[in-house]
Amino acid sequence: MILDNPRVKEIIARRHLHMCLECGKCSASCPRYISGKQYSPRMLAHKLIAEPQDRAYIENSVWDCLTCGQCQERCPSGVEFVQLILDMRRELAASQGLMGYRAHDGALHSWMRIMTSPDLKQNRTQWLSPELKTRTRGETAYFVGCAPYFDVFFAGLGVRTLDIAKDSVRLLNRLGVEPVVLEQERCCGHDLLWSGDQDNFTELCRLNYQEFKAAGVREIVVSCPECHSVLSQYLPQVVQGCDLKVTLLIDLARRAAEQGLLDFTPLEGVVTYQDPCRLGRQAGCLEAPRELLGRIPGLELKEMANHGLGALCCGNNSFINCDAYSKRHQVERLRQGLATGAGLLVTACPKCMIHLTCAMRDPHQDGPLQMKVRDLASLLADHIR
Amino acid sequence: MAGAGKKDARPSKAVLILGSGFGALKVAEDLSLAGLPVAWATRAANFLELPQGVKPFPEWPEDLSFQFRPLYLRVTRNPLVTLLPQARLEALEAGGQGYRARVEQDPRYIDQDQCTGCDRCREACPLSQAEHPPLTRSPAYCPSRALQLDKRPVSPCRLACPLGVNAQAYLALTAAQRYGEALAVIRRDNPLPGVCGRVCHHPCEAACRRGELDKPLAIRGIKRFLFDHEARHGLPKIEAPPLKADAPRVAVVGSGPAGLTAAHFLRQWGLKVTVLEALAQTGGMLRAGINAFRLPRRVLDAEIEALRQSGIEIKTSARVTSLEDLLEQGFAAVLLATGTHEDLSLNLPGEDLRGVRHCVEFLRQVNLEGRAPMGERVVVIGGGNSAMDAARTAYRLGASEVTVLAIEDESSLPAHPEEVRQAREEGVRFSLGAAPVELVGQSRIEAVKARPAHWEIGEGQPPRIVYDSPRAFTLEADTLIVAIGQRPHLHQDGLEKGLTLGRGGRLTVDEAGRTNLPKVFAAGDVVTGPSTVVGSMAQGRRAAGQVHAFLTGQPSPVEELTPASHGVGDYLAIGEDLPQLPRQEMAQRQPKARCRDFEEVEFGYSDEQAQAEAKRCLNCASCCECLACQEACQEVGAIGHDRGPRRLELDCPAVIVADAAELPPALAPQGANIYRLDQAGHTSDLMDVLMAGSAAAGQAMAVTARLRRGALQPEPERAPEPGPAGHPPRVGFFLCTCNQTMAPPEVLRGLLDLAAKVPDTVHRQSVFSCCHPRGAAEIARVVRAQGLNRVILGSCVCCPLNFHCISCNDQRSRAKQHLFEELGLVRCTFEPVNLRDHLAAGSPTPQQMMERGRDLLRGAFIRSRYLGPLTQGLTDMGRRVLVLGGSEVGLSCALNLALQGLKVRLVDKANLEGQDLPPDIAGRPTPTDFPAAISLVPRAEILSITGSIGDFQVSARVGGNKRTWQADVVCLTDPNILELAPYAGEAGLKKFYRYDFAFFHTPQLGLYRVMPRTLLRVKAFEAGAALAAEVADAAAQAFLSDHQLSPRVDPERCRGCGRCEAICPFDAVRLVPGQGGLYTSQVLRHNCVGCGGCVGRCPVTAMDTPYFSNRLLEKLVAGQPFTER
Repeated sequence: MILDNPRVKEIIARRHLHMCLECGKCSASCPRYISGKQYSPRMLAHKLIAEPQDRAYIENSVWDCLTCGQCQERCPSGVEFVQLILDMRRELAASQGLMGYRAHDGALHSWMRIMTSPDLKQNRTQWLSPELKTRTRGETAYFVGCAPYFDVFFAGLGVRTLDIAKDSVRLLNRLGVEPVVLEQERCCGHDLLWSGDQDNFTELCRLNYQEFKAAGVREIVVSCPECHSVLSQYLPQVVQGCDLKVTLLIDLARRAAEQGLLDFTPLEGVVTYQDPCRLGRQAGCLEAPRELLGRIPGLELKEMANHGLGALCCGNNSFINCDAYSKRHQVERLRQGLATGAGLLVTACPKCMIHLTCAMRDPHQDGPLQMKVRDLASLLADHIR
Repeated sequence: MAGAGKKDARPSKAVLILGSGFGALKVAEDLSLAGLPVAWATRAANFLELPQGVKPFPEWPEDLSFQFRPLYLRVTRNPLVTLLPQARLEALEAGGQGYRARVEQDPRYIDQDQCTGCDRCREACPLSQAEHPPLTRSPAYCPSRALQLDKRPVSPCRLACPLGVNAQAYLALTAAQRYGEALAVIRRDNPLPGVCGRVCHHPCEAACRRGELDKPLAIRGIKRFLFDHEARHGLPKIEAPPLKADAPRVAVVGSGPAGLTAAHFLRQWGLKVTVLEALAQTGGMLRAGINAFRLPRRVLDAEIEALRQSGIEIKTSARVTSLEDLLEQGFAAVLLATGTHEDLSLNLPGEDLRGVRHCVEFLRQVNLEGRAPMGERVVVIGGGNSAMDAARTAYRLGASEVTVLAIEDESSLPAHPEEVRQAREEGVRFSLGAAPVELVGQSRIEAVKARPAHWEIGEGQPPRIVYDSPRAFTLEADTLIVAIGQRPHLHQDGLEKGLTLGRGGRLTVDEAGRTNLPKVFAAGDVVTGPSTVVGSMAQGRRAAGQVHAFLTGQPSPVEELTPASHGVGDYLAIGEDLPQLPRQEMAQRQPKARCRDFEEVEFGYSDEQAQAEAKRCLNCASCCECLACQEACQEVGAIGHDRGPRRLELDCPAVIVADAAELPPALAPQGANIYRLDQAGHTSDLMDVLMAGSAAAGQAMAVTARLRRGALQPEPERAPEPGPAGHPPRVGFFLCTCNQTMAPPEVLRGLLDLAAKVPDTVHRQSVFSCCHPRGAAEIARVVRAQGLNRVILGSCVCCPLNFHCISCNDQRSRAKQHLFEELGLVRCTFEPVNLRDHLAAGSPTPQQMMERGRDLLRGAFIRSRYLGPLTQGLTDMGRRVLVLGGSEVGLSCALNLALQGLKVRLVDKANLEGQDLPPDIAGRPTPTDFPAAISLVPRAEILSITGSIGDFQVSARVGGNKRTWQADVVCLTDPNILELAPYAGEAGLKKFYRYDFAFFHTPQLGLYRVMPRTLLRVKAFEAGAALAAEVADAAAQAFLSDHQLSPRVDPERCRGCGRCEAICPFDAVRLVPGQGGLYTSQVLRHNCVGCGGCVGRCPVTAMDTPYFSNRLLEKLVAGQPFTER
């Protein structure tokens, strides 16, 4: 039984699950539950506490969660549900080898694990062109993330995630920063962490930290909210004495704009903004993107029905659990976007871009789901005055 | 389980197909799929052999059969198809409800329904490396590992040998340095190889076909070599069956070649034999009449001793004087083989002078006592072998001058030329063409007077001496040896009493070798007069056979060979590029030295010489019948050298002639229901042949519908049973040794041990062959007895599916047929793993083989945990056919199908929604005289066709009303409605045309159309029949089962993204409305070929093939089933 495991007991206690009032706000707001999936955060809480013998339910549910944080946001009792899920996944993976059901036959997780090889030789900076000013050593680095890999893997979708990296470097150059771009940077390990593979995650953190140190880096600028979440929050947990400063590119841009160092050319039209879960609800970065968008002359931001702290997840996390319910949920989100009348959906996470674009690929949906999606960094870089 | 499955079950009624090639294949496919029994006979060894004048498609590779492997197997494996390769139509008479056919099939020396293709026969065959190896892969059941045996009529050397000794076989074995086996081959027919290797007059060599090219083989020399080789290495014992206490006793009188041979075979057949020899030493004339320098005594002694050791009692100095006495002693039969030991005399005055000897008596004295008085000048009278022996002996006894006086001239001397040559070399003079007229001398012979003379041979009279000249000449001599012949000496012992004697005192016997006295048989020279060693031996064996027959009441076991005894066709041709090669000459002692003593003259062949000589053999009969292959195949039992042709009589309601050459004009009766592919259309290319095949099949179906058997019972959908609740699965491991050729024994043992390390493995064993009926039956027995619910089968079989892919072959599909269809084991509980093709590839070491085996078995054992149901269900076919369009093809098709008993709805004039009827169709008269089975719709506007095979819905507007028809299959037969067929992409077409010959198919299975190209090529009536044949294949089946590799869709996962639909070239995936407002993917199982493209494309694993599930593949990569228990 699951409660026989003292570590599970400890997790339940640490994440305040006993505080659950069984009010059901979590499930009522859970996008999985709403789209019809046999999954309910409240039921999971109940099972963990009252029916720990129902292992099948618990083990399935722990992997069914999107970790979008909506339930936690609504919870009146302060149950740390997202962290509970993370702890449980780590525990179940370590003790039982569970890995959940991974989309794309686990290919993305495989490459992340491949990157734990210390002798890995990557060719991941080929995209750097001469007009992008970067260095191999220096105090400030730009963390590229998985964009070069996604660009290959999702080529069929037409999402150009490398453009985000290029545009981020352009922005940094414009702000007077010539960032270090590491030749042997690894994946931040977000998806391994969130699918429970703590060992390989730790290894990736260690290798990345080594690379940063070797290049003399003290501050890391990131554009991807997942990388930001890992580097700022989880890497220090596994790397002893980590002294790296982690900064969001949009925070940097916002400060520069406030200081009058950054002006934008006009963009006439209505746009809407998709809050990435790791950026909005979890890092609390809700204002900066909106403020930056507001600085583009002529741009009119129209919020979707669910936005800000109540924003809907793009439908997927860590490349696990992608299924028919994700699709329903994504279709709903796209419809919300289309309902704003916006011609462009701006997001700040490459995965939101991938997932929402994928959902548009549907030959039979009634009414077109097509919508242009762009990353915030790219939009800003395109409109630097 | 007795016999092998279906092929022995001979149908009494079937549609007869004559000829090979793809047209015939198409006919067989159509008819068998439509449920009609078929007998397919062709003279060819290969069903795919193209009849003359037919060219394959220009764009196809030369190895056509490769493309057609799956189709070919599907047809040959169909239980309704009886395959008769290398068979001829012998008679075809009209009668009853069609024709009565008699088909004769050449002997099947290798039963291809049993041959496992283990190849041990080929390894055993001494002729595997020959230019025309007798054992080759058989194309008959292509693709197959099975072998065929090329056996031609009995070779001339063997036919020429009175004993029928298989010279070709021992030559082949000698060439392969397998001397022991070679000698054993000789001993099958000849118990005295050492003797015959020296003194046989070798009629085999005279018959040898190599003589046409250069010189005959030195067969006798090789026989001698083999005996000498073995003698140096210790002769093997002659094995004989144990004697039963009540075995009858037979007395053989005389221990000469006839007596010894008879005694040997009688002993081999289980009788008690006593040989009675009057002389003090054994051997009869072999010892008394043949000199030691020709036949060394050690050779003779060794051979007779070996016979004695085999359980023959031989008594010497046992003169028999009364046959009654013998019979009273308890002998159940007596065989007289006393030979001819009495010399003929000249009947000239002076024959009683001192110094006049008679040959047999003289040689006997020399040979038994070692010496005889001898003068200086010797004359030998006579020209036979005995005369040569006497002359040469005279030299060895000290004579200084020896002259042979013979009436014959050089060319007609009865002595063997070799003997004459050797005598001449030793100094013997010849005075030929003269006969003695007077023996001169007082008390002792002094001279012989002779006159030129010759034999006059009159018809029906004994030869007479005719003197050519009155002038006599004189040969001085102090010793005269008369060697003019011998006769039986029965009267010397009073043995002739009561026996009927013939000319020259010879015994008279009947055809069965019996004398006039009961229980008394006779053989050898005493019957025939002086003959040859091997001739006497053959007599002895034949008489022994008669004695055996007399005592046991069984027919004689002695087979008299004729050219037609075995084999088919003609001797292997002597190729023009075959080089002439000199015959090996035997080394011999110099004449000067050798005529001083009685040591052997010739030295025999060296190893190299024997091999070089044996390699000259032309292998006239191809298969030499050494029977080494039969021994290697003992357990499998596929090889039978004794098989004869088989005859099959059939009632044929219809006959389809695929190759006109196979129907002899004399046999062709006039009448209906004979369909000729070459008359149906043109035969310029394969496409026409195939179309003609279908047309013939369709026409035949219409007249043979009453033969149709109920559709095969489909296999029910089953999943492996997990075993009793809460209990682990019971896993069994069977290892096919492929007749011990799979791997060395230590590897096989290692693999079996490995299985013991898998938890839940409750049984493991090896089987000699799993594609053999007996091996499969053993597996089935154990599976049931042990209650196994997971079975790992290590063999060459690579999947358990009811399906033939391009890799499948005869053995694989046969194993599956035995196990699953005949023995009823549950298909989905089996996990076959192809060890055979992988273990031994590239000649690995046993360790490497073990590693590979471990790897392969690892996967199989992991996989056995994830076995699940293989089929997704069956489509119930209701036999409803909708023909759209009343073109001539459509009408022909509809009529044909109606005759076949199907329900047909014919829409005579049809157009698409919003389009007008083309004028030619609009103006076409509508036929009125339809049979009741066709329901006619004169005019309709077709709105749509939806659904799939077995469940089509056709919407139409008829006279202003909307109608929807249900149909199992739909045919589009007018050009203006072809648009209703889905677009046939290139890949989709490839599937149908290349692998199924299905020219009327569209990518939507069950929806047929007539291509405009077809209409141009064949007559409309034939095209309609061909279309009907295709339709009947599907519609006549009560059920259609699906492709076992077609994927399933998990609707919980499917995101409706459409990637699967986009990638499928076979129109087998469609998106249909699902839950939650999303579309979901659906697989049209009958369209699916199981390629797995959609599974690979699906981003969320919503598509999965149970047989290759993603979960399984993941486990295969990382899993490890072998744990110490």
